[in-house]
Order: sequence, then structure tokens, then C-alpha cells
Amino acid sequence: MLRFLLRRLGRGILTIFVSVTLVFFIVRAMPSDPVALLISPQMTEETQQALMESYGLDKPLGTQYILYMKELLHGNLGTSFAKRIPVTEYLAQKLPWTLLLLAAVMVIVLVIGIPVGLLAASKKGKMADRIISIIVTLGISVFIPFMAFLLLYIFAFRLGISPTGGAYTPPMGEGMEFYLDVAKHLVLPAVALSITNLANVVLYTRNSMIDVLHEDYIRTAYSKGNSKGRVLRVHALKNALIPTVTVIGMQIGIMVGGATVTETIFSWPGIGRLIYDSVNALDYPVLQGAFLLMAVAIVIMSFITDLVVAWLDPRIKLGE
Amino acid sequence: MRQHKGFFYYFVRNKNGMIGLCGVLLIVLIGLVGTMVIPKPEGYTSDILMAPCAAHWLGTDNLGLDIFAELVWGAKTSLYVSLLAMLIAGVIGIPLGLICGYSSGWLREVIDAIIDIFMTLPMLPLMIIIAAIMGTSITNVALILGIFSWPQLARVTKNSTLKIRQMQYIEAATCLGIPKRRILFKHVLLNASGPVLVNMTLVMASAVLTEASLSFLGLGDPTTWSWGTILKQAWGQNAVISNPNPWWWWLLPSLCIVVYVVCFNLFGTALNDCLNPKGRE
Amino acid sequence: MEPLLKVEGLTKLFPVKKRKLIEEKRYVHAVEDVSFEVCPGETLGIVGESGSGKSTLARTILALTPVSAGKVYYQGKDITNFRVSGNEKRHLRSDLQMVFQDPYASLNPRLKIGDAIAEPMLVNGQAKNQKEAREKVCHLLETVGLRPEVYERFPYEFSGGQRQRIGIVRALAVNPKLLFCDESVSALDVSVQAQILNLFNELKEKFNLTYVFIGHDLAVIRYISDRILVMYMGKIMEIASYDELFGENTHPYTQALISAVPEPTTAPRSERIILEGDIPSAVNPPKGCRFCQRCFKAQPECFEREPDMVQTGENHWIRCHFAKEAE
Repeated sequence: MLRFLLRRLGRGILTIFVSVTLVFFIVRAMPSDPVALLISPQMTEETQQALMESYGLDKPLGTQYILYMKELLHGNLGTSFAKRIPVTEYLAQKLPWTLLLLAAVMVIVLVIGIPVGLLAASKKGKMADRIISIIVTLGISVFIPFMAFLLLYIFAFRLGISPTGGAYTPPMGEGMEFYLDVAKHLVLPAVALSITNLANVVLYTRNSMIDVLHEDYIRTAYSKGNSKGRVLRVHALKNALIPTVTVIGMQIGIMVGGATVTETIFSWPGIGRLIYDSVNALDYPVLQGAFLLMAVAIVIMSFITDLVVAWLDPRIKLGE
Repeated sequence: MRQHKGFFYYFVRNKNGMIGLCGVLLIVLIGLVGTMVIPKPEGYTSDILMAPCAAHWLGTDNLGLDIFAELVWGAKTSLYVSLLAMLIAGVIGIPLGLICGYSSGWLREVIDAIIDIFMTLPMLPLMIIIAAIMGTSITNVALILGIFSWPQLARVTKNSTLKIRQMQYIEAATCLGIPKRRILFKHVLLNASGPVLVNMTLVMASAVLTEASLSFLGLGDPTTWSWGTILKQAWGQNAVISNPNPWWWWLLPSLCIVVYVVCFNLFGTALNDCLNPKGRE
Repeated sequence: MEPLLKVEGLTKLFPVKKRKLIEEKRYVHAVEDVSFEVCPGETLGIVGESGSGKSTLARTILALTPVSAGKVYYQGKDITNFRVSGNEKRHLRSDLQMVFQDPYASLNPRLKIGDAIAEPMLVNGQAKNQKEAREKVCHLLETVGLRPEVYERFPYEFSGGQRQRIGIVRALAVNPKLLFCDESVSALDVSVQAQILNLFNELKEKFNLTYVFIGHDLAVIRYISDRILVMYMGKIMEIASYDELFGENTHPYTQALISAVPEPTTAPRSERIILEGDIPSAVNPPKGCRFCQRCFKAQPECFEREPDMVQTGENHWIRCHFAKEAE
């Protein structure tokens, strides 16, 4: 167990380190110069110089990297070029919105996906299963903007019951009214974003449930006189959910980094939108911060996933 | 030839697979022949935002260009991008997967770590940055897609190799003095070809989705048509929520993308079912 | 006569995967301190239960898995781990061949029979081009009783016996001098076993072969071997000629094996010796004699001290405290 933890910790730190390093250099390989965006011609020579120095852009690349890593170890992610506020503060503004979207997606996926997957497995080969399979194939192949367009067209344009974008109607209100307003804005992006995940979860749950039902220990459980419902709930479900958990875990990790396309279409003020804007604004520190956040989220989520899978599956002993 | 006959026997009888295959062939035909017959839509005309009619089967966009022609040219782009991405992913992923699965010690650990790290990197955001760096041409987009798709292929190849290397016929080949490289790229690869092929079709499907996303975000090639580019322009003009609604402008490219991906997914799934005896029941 | 193959103190340990962070490294003692010789033209049988290390022994000699300790000599030359020049290695890969246990697993399912046999010939230089290889392969196929048309077929089209013949052709195609047969008939039906054993005997004459025949079934090994080597838990228990092994003065383990061989006789059977339990774990071998836990003759001494090999005849060695030493 200790061996496993140390190994995972090592891999995790390595992943984060590689990600941070990669992004540091990739960002600086972008063809335009952020200095040009930062400095306006009205500034005096000294102000320009001071500005460059304050962002460390006057130093050679290697020195910049070492300085950045040093600051990172102290928890300092630097200052945004565009907003002139600390990156941590900037991310902290955006992260709750992404997490809110993520939570909504996960609720949809879990509440609908797992029961539908189990239903399809229990009706394998029958009409219900076939219909679900067709929908799942479409869902896996769907282009998320298409889903978003359809939803916008129907609910925002035709029916006019949904806002077309944003996370709330400005100005930011308070209390119950504000929450309801946010919830109203949340529905369409959450639905659009959950389609692919939902299809995946249904597919994995269905297939692994079918596999599990073929296993010998299920036959043993039946032959011991257990009822069908009990066999499914107690013996099969736990094992059948292992692939589902793995998929969901990976997806949560990735989605902490935001859903760039969906957030762009719905003007959702989350991390994904932030990344897209920061690429256009050449805001290096923000990009680096966002990628660090994503790397950490993915590493943590894959670790949690492993623990949950190990807990679900008695055959897996960590560290072997 | 029992096994090969068996594969075709099952594949021809796999309804979804045949639908997928026909769809794939149709798209290839449209992309190759269509672009020879139909000139590339360029510039602008006065037929702005016309609904589907005899002159413009699928209507026109805000520059008066024919949507049908744009879609045909978009099909070619999608084919080109997904094929190139698949080839790049294959050229990098298959050898690395084979080596990783067959060797032991540090080489395996290193490749394993690279695959793991690559798989956990956030794909789309990184691609956005890299697309911004490399400039927007469809070849660059395909390159980026290939570079980010290989780890998946390498992992599948590795897992197959791990199984195959334990087979007695591989030991027999070593015993018969067949060089290691030849064992790997002939004896192992021949037996791993099923899962590898399936994964390659899936890479092609996801490449089109990602290409469309990049184009939609404005990181596609402005000099050629892609389904994502059409959508970007439609979105830029608020086509989805404007009145009267030019539905053909945003709906049809979206449908093209979905059909393309569905066909490849169906084809890949059927391939998997027919190559894997367990799925043949 | 100079031995064709000489093995000295060959040992193969497999490390046991560590479970805890700090743990003493442990090993499976698959083959331990094995020494023997094979003379040109003879057939040496190696017999033992599954897990006794006989297959590992063959694999270590053929450098399919690295040697942990000890030396292997071929025609007087040290070939341990096949650590020789590239050209000599090619000769070794031709001279020492193996017919594998499982006829279903030892042929690549995706390769045509002919290509599978011709490829090593082309690689090792027994044939210069495809055409020559094809002729030779077809000729060999006929020698083992298969029609040349099988060249274009795939393995799954054949029965176990046919596949084993194909496996034999593949080994013979590179002109071997010494052929290891690792449980080469165990996976076959008894009637087919006899056919293949007869084939082995014919081929031996025809191609001047020397055999090392590995098996768990003493009835089979006895049928084909001139000398027999009995292994238990990675160690040699007894080496004896055919006659001596079935004589009076033998190892208790050999006696147990012999008593298990079915005899076509009407005479009342001598009592069968039934061994209790399974072969013990080779990770922690017993301190004394390897066989002490299951031996029906075991005395306290056997649990304390491991016996040495005792020479009881000109070609007869036994590892037992109770063996009668030759005068």
C-alpha cells in the first residue's frame, strides 16, 4: 500500500511538473509578443522598462523559468498581464462557475446514465436496449456545439424560455432570485455538455453489467438461492460500476479545466472560456495557472478513482 | 482461410457495420469526386442567405456562397485531417506501443510514463495554444491532432503486445533465431492488428470532432472550407438565434459532422465485434 | 566421446515481486545447480512433475531466458546465454532447436504454415531465396507425412497432431543437431502420441539428431530415451540409464514415478506409491532434502541435511542418503 502511494505520488508530481514545464515553454513560443499588448506608446521609456521588469519579461528564458518555478513552490502563480490581478485571485473568480457547471453535468450523468445503462443491460437485445444503443451511438458521436445550437434554437429562440448566454442576468443580484436566475442560465450549457458523458456512462454501465452477469460468481449467487434483485444489487452492481467510475473520474479531472467550446458558446464565465480569452490576450501567467490547476485536478481525480475502484473491486489490491 | 472468411462473413451480416462502411465510402466519394466537380466557393455573390432552392440546393450563407459546395469542400478537409492525424498517430503510437509492451526495464518505464503523462494532459486547451503557435493550416491541425492522439493508440498496442509476447509462438520465433525487430514488427503486430485497426478508426472519428472544435474557435485554416469554419461564421453572425432563422446554415454542417463521426464509430464498433470472437454471438 | 552438450551448475532464479517497500529480495529456485552431459546421438529424457523446472532448464540452455549462474558448453565451447559473436549465434540458433509443448500456441495464428517454416531458413541461411526455401519446406513436409499443399494454409486448419508435425518441420528446417522436445507430445491424444514418438525415432536416424526429451509422463520418456534424468524442485534427483532406472537401487521419488506408470500385465500389481500433497513452494525450499516432505522413506536426517549426488554405477547417480554407493 505504501509502495503504491509513493509510486502514485511520484507519477503525479512528475505529471504536474512536465505539464507546467511544457506549458511554460509552449506559451512563450506563441508568435506574438505580449509586451506589445501591454505597453502603450504613450508610456515613457522608464515606465515601459519598469513594466517589463515587473513581469520579468526582460530576463532570458531560462532565468524566467527558474524564477517561475521558485515562485510556484511558494504558491505564487504570478500576476495576470491583462487584468493586473494575481492569477490565483483570477482563477478563484472563475473556478466556482466551472465547478457549478461540472456539478450540474455530473448530476445529470449519474442520475440518468447509470439507471439507463442498467436498464439496457437487463433488457439486452430487446427493443428498449436497441433504442438506447442507437441514442448512445448518436450521443457519443455528437458535436457539442451542434447540441448547443439545437438547444439554443429550440429553448432560447423558438420557445424563448431560456437565456441565450451568460451565467446570470446582470447586475449580479442576491438571495433566492439570484440563485434561480443562475439555475435558469445553467440548464442549457449543462445539458449540452452532458450528452457525450451521458452516452459514455450508459455504454460503459451497460457493457460491464452484461459482462459481469456472465461471470461465474453471479451464477453461484443465483444457485445459492438469492433473488434476482438481490443478486443484481449486492453482487453485480458494485463490480459493474468499476468502468463507469473510471470514466467519470477521468472526465471530472478533465472538466475542472473547463469546457472551452461550451463555455464560449454560452458565454459561461468559467476556466475554459478564460483559457480561450487568455490565448488571444497572450496572458502567459493566467494560462500557466490554468494548466497547473488542470494538471493538479487530473492527478488528484485519477488517484481518487483508483481508490474507489480498489474499494469496489475486492480483486484489486493496491500496489500489486 | 476460415478466419478471414469468418471475418467478412460476420461483417457483411453486421447491419450497423455495413451502414457505417457505406457512409464512410460515401463521404470519401463526396470528398474526392465532389471537389473535382464543384469549384471551391470563394469571394461573395449577391444571393445572400437564400433558403434551399433549385439554384442553391442547400441555401447560401451571408456572403452568398453555396452551402452545398462548402459542405463538399468541408468533407475533403475532414477526410484529409482525420487520415493524416491517424497516420501520424499510427507512426508514433504503434512502434512505441510495441516497444513498450515487449521490452522490460527502464525503456518500458520511460515510454509508459510518457504515455501516462500525455494521456493526462488537457488536450483541447493545449491544442488551442499550439494551434495559435503553429499557425492555422489544415496540415498543422492534423499534425497537432496526430501528436495528441498517439498515446491512446500506443496504449492499445502495448496492452495487446503484453498479451502476445507471452505466447509460445513468440518464444518459438526467438528460438528459431528470428531477429527481435522482425518478431516485433511482423509476428507481434500481425496478431495485434485487430485492436490497433479498431482504435485507428476511432482516432479518425475523434480527429474530426476536434478539428471542428478548433475551427469553430477560429483556429482552423481560413483559406479552406471545413465544417467547423462554416459553423464559426454562422455563429459569428448569430445565425442560431436570429430572425428569420437561416437554419440551413448552422444545422447542415452540424449534421455532416455527426454523420461522419457516427459512420466511423459504427464501422469501428463492427470491426471490433467481428475481429473479436466473443462479440460475434 | 566428447559430449555434444555439457551443463555445469546451471541455476535459474526468478525474483519474487516485492509487496512491501522494505522487504528482503526473494527468489523462486526454478533450476538449481544442475549438471549433466548429452552425448552425440543419444536421447536424454528429463522427467519430473510440473513445476520441477525441466522446461525452465531447456529455456535457460537455449538462452530464451537468462542464466542466473552456471555454464553451458556446446561442442566444448562456452555458450552460456548465447553470448557469442553474431555469426556463431546464428549457427547456435540453427544447431540447437526446440519443439514446443502446445501445438496450438506454438504456431503464429496469422502466419501461413509455409512462411512460418521458411522464415527462419531464410534468416539463418539454410535457404538463399524464397524458391529454394519453398522446395526444402515441401520436401520436409512430406518427410513428416504432410502434403506440400499445406504450405498455403493457416494453423487453425489443422489438428493437434498435424500441428505438432508442422512444429517439428519448423525445427528441422534449420538443420539442428540437438533437438529439445519440451513436453512435445503431452498435449496430444494417446494414439497420436505414439505416432509422433515413432516419427521422432525415425527422424533421429534420418537426420542424425540428438534429443533432449522433456516430459512429465515416465511412460513416454521411457519409450524414447537412452538415459533418463529425474528432476524434482529444480534439482536433479537421479541420472540413470534406461535399465538402471527400472532396476532395484533407485531414488524413492523415481520409485514413486515408476509405480504410477500403467503396466499392460495380468500379474498382480505391485503396490502403488502415492505421493502426498503437491510439490512444495520453490520460494522457500526445504532445508534438507528437497523431497523430504513427501518421501515415504524420510528419516530425521533427511530434514536436516541435503544429500549429495552419489555414484552408484558407471552411469548412475542418485541424490539420496540411502543410495548404495558403488564399490
